[in-house]
Amino acid sequence: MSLSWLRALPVSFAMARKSPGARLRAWFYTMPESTMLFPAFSMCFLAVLWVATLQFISVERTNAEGAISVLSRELVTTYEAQVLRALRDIDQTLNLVKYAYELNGQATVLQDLKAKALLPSDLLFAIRIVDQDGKVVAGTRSSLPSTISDDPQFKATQATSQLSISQPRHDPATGEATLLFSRRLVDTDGKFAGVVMLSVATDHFVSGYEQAKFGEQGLLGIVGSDGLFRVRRSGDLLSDSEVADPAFLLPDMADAGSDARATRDTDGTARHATARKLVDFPLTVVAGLSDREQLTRFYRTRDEYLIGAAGGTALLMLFTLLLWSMSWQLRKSRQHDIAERKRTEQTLRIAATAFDSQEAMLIADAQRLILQTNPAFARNTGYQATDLVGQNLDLLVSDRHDAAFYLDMWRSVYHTGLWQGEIWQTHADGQAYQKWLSISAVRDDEGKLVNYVGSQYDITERKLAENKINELAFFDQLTGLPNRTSLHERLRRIMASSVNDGSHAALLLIDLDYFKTINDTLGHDMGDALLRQVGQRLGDCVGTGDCVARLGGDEFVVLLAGLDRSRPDAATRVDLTSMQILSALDHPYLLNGVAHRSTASIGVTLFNGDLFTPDVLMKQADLAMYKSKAEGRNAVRYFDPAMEAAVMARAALERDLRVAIGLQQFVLHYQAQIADGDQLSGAEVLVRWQHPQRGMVSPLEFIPLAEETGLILPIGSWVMETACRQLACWAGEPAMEALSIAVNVSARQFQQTDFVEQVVAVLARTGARPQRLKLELTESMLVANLDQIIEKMRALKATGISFSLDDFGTGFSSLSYLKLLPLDQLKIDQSFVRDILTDPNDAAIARTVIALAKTLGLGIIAEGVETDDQRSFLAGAGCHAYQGYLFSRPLPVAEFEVFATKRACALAA
Amino acid sequence: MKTSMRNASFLYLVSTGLALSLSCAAAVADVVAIVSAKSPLTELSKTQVANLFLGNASMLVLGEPVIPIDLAAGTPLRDEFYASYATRSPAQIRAHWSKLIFTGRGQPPREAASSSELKKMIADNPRAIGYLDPRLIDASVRAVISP
Repeated sequence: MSLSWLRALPVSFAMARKSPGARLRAWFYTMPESTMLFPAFSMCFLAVLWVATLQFISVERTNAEGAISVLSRELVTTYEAQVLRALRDIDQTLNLVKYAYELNGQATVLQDLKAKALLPSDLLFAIRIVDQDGKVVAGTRSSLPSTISDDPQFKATQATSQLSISQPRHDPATGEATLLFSRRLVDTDGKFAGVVMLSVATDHFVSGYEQAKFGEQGLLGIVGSDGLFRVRRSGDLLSDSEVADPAFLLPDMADAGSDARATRDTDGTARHATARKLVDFPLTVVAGLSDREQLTRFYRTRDEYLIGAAGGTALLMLFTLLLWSMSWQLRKSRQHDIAERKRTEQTLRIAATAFDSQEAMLIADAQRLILQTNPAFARNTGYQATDLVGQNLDLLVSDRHDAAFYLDMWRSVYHTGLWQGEIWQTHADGQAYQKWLSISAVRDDEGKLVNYVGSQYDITERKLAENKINELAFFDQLTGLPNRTSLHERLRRIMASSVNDGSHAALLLIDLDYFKTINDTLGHDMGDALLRQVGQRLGDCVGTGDCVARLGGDEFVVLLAGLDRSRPDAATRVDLTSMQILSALDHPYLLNGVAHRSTASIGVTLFNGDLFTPDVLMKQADLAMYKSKAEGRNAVRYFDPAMEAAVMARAALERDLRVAIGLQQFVLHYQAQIADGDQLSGAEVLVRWQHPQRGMVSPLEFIPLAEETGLILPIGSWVMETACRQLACWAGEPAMEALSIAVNVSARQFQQTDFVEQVVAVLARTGARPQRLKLELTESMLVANLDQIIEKMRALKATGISFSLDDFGTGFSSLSYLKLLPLDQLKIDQSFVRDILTDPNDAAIARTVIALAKTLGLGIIAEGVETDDQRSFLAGAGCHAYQGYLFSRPLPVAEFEVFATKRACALAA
Repeated sequence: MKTSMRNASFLYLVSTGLALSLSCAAAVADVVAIVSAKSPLTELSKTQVANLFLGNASMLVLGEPVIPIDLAAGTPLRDEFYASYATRSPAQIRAHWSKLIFTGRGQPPREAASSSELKKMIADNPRAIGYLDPRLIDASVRAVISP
């Protein structure tokens, strides 16, 4: 289990709840990302920067180009003037020569003119005079050819009176280009007389090209109307005959005010050039400036701008990137932080919740000083957190453990990181209590022990529960005595020690007499109280080595161990204890302030060694106990093997009884009931079992068994059916017609919920007259549910059936409720009648019963009347009805009918 | 058709330099600037002389500008003079005048048909300045170049 969160616990629980600060932070985190903000700002800034830069550059360019334009215009203006002057000078020279030559026709005209310094420097200009045949008649330079009759210039000049300007001519040897200017000569008649021709090197017309003004790539040139350069100079480079930018020849270029035009002619250099068409000559002058050169300063400025802007951009981008990266890092770390914080908060929340759990928790530092405790801890220990924080854990130790215990505990915590177990602790009120404690060591990342975490819960409850479970398992809850399981355990132990030392032991099974009746009449609470008192009294009767246990219900067991090796001596000891027990249990029990009496029956089995299993021993004691019950209760009986035989016999009898019911082996015997004046009033039916092997079985033998097993129900209903059928049968016979039949109804029969319906059904089925049917109830069955009994009796009585109370006086019935019962007759039990003449008590009872019946207005009958004296006594006491051997023994129906007939005859006689 | 003026000048300078260095001792006094014997000018540097001939500067003598007198183009002495005094080739001289003429800043000096004609012209005109083979110098003219 990871406890790392606990390190932060003492200080940071507050963080688990959201503070306003945390909300602010959370809001901040949801803001649009600043990571995008920086680049966006940068982009905006860059856009502005570049727009401004380009704008500046554009303005600069405009300015620079404007300057070029102005300059080239100035240059072309100058150039135009220079060319014009040069051409005019040339033309003037030609005209002069022409004039002079036409005037005198002398070949020496040139020398004359030169001598007068009227000719231009022959350094540059060569002048020739050609006659009409193309033959040079005069020239300033001898090297020139002597005849030019085929020269196109000669021909061209011949055809015009205007100044003729040739295409550039190239000296084949030097490559030097020359322009020819010529005029036609005429004679006095105006006829063609030749040509005066001036040649000049083309470079003369561009000698005004100055590097200082035009640069290395400026342009200076003259274009003919044919669009070809007559001469062209750029830097030191001379050329001609190239096609000029047609734009130079456009009319608007001729305007003096026209702007320079961007051009890129044959040499590919971008320039701004201005052209000017000459007024008197078919030529156009062009002056241009190279953009590259003229815009150098602009380019430099532009480059500075661009470099500045680019530098700024790079710097800004770098900065932005840096910021963005930082912000990204920040954001990532924030996200990480948030995630971390969320995780931490969650962990803390969980931890806080866990810490506030029902389990008592405590956190101490490495010095075992308490840092924090939770509310459960306060509840558990009685110490408040404020009392404990800062205290040493030793405060909580209990003197129930020695120092070694604690030493081991802390050692375990240190070495394994955990200790848990049951431990005693001292509560704040000084009481020691048990708890389950686990101590965990919390270590930091370096493995250093930083905290101890203790969690504990009070196991007092659990201990109690364990004891309770133990009790439930081994002790009877009601009396606190060992239960059956525990008893078996003890029994086995005693048997084992008996085997070892040869001593005897005794198992006494004690069953309270009529406990069920007590439970039914007084209620279960009283029954339980009685059982508790019995348990206590039994405990008082036995020694420390002995054992008292409750098996359940009203059954108790006393184990007497370590008895003498001699069986008789051991039995003597058991006798003594048994008597003590009987005597102790016989004392009145005070239940809810009223004294009650109860007795017990004890069955004993004395044993030695492990010859019998505990179960067998229990069964033996059980048999003995039943014997003691059967033999009048409140007694002690020892188990002997004969008992087992009796039990076997009983089992056989039960089996036979079931068969008997199936085979209807029962018969009814009728015992006459004689009323006053020896008149036969009826008969009581008594069931007899005609067993094929056993012969006639007495009801005393099988009725209790039938009662016990429930077989009394089928037997009872058979009896009822048979008796009713007999009544119906007798109804048609005069001698028998008036006789009633009394049927004994057992408690179990009468308790059946449908008993009334059964009887009514039988009456209906057989057609017997209810008035002739008398049901005999025993008073023992009247103890419980008196209201129900009365209800049933009334229901039956309503049909005409009458009731007789059998065995009256044998039980402990209360006279008080006699009057509540709808009885017709009381029956004096034969046990009183038998000794009525000798036992004054019996006589007294008989008299009392008779008096009682009279008082209540009930009929009275005595049974078991065997002698005349008995009858006389009873008659004297006021009894007028009898039943017994004095009159007739119980007879089969045929014999009874004979008896009845005889009796009727005798009476009639 | 293109020609490079610069290349031509360069080649000339190289060849002239070579020629000068090879004929140093012999060539020193092959040409000399002269003035009329009646000229007040006594001593001029070669550069001053050259500037006068190239029209770069003018000088007043007797209240009038000095008149440089040149030999006809193509004359060896003329070429030697310009090479020695102005360290310029004939083409450069031609270009120089071409430019000055074209731009209207001046005209080349008057030319004498021969050295003898030139000497006569110098001798006759105290404002004139010219050049001559030193061996042809007589009493009518004198060299103005400081040795």
